[in-house]
Amino acid sequence: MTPMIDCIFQLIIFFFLIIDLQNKELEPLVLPKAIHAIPDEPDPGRERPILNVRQDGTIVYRTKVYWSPSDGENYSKLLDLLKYFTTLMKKEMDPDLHKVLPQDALLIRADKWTEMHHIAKIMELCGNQNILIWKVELAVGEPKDAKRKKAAK
Amino acid sequence: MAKKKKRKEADVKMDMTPMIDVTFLIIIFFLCLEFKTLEGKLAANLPKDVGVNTSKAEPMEKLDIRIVCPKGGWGKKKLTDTVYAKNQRRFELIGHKVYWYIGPKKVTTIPGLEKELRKQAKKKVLDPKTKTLKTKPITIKAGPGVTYGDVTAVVDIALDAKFEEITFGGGEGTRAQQKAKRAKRK
Repeated sequence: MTPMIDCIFQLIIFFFLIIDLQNKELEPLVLPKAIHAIPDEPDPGRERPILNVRQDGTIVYRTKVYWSPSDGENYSKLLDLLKYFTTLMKKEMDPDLHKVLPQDALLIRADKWTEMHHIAKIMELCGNQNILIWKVELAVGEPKDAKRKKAAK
Repeated sequence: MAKKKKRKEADVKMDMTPMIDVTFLIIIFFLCLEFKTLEGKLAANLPKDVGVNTSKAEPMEKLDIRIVCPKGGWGKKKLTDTVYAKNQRRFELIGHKVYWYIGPKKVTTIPGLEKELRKQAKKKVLDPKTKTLKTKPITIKAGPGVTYGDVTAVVDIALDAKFEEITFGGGEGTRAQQKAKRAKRK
């Protein structure tokens, strides 16, 4: 029985990993490189507000499309998603504006060659009075020699 | 004699199970390595004071960086083998060009941009809230045809020059939208 149990265990581990990776928050995008990026170390088990933007501007969250060019100016699905994101974020009263604002950042991941207008549109929607997300993070890849450059500095 | 032969054959048999086990483990290990590619992020802010505000805002000197993609600067699309979704192949832009306006000054090269931003970072302004000197807040505005990569490059350089506050201005439409507008006007 031992080999069979071995195999079953291996398969369990394999599928466990595959299923975990299938629950993709990160689309396979080619990110631009940046030297001064902070490493992205997500908190495991916590749902993160991440938006993936494909080259044609299609906006994806967890493999589901929330806006595509065929939607034109209809951003209702995306607005609902951003509202949902605010429920995941910590909030604090802003002393200057006297408003409760989300304090977590929205991570935007876009392909290197995606037109900035699509990302600017997300940023514009973040300013909606029911959302008010004001912190954003732009996902980038670290160049291979970045660590060396940082160490040299 | 026959018994001896049989014994010898039995001795030669090898148990393959541990080897297969180890092979599987190695496969899983390398698969995991492949998926765990490290990513980084560049932090920036959006304007907080959108809409109608009753609070008073003290004026503060800001630095506008406008990224412009000139006519013919978009480059040529070269399709790659990567497929995103149905019928959607990833492309690379060959010969993509942009230039920058730092305030009113036009900069056309990356080293020139670095130099100008470092120069601007030395000019401190008084923060009306904290009454301390700090670098000017930057607002990055991207014109039509400017890509995400162009903007992250500017943010990267600005962070290197020690600018603390980076915000983004609104978009001016995609290239396609701009073309459509021009066609309508005609």
